[in-house]
Amino acid sequence: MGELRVLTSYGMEELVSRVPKSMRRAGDTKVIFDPEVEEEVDVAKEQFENLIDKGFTAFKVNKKGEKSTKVTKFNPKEGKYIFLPPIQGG
Amino acid sequence: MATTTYTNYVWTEWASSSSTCSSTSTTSGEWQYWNTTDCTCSSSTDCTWNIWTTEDVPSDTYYLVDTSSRRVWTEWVDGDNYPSQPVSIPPVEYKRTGRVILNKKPVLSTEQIRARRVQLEINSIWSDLKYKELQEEKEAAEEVAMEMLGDLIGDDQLKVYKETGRLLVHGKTHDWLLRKGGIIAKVEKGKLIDHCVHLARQHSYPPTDNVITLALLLKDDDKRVERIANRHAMEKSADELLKAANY
Repeated sequence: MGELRVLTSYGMEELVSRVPKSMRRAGDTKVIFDPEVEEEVDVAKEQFENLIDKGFTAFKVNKKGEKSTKVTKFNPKEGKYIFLPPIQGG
Repeated sequence: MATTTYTNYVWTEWASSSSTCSSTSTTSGEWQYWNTTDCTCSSSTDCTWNIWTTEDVPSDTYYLVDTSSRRVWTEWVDGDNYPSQPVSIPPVEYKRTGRVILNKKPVLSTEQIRARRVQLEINSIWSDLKYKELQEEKEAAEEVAMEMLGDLIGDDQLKVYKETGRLLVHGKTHDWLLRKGGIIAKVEKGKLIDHCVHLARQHSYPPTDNVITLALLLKDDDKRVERIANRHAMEKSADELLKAANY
């Protein structure tokens, strides 16, 4: 199964618009999709592009403890992504 | 005496004084202070009155005297028990004694004060409940963030992070020390140089989300993060590095 995990701030859960409200949670919003089901892949791809447009940075997550790599294009076979919100200097 | 009927005025305050209530006035408007002491009290109840007249005083018993001297009278009712009430206004005396005070702050009745206290208490209880609910939500979100960090750094390092709240990230050009809920530090020549960089709206995220984000970005391209960060002048010894999780 593929997975998009978005770091979500409190009150911004609606960022991932097509995720049912019951699945949204402050701190981490997940979009789980089956790479074999075209419809689900389309939704995940749309979310991926939407988040990149909003300034999020996507990282492909590997096995536990392994280095994650930054990605800019969606590949349903890669499985799991983490989306990081923008940062700023303090 | 002139006879005038005033309807639905707001009478905000009564003041005791030695003046009599026999003066008259046809002026309309809001009358803040009334002299009532010499009037005979026919009722001391907290009635409301809609209509005032300045008819000749039939008898002193029609004066409504407020013995507590100050109170907000919002409405006046002309009822069976309390027929049209004669009102006496001595404006000259107000000027002389300086009792016409432009005090816009309303004086609340006992009932209003009580209602306000109850409302404040309800507000306070509601705020406490809301705070507790948000606190629980924040703690749950932090748990989720910890799990996600565990996916990145492995369970052993997560254990160290939980103990110390620190994560040492090995970037391409430098090592970086991330502190949970605090600023980050670049490791350079055995010293820690503080840099301030964090998630936009960082307080809306669990603290560990900040650590995850910076860890991944530093690992990928620490030069870019350094460009965004603000460097602090303070340099510290690297003692903190002795106990920190590694990524």
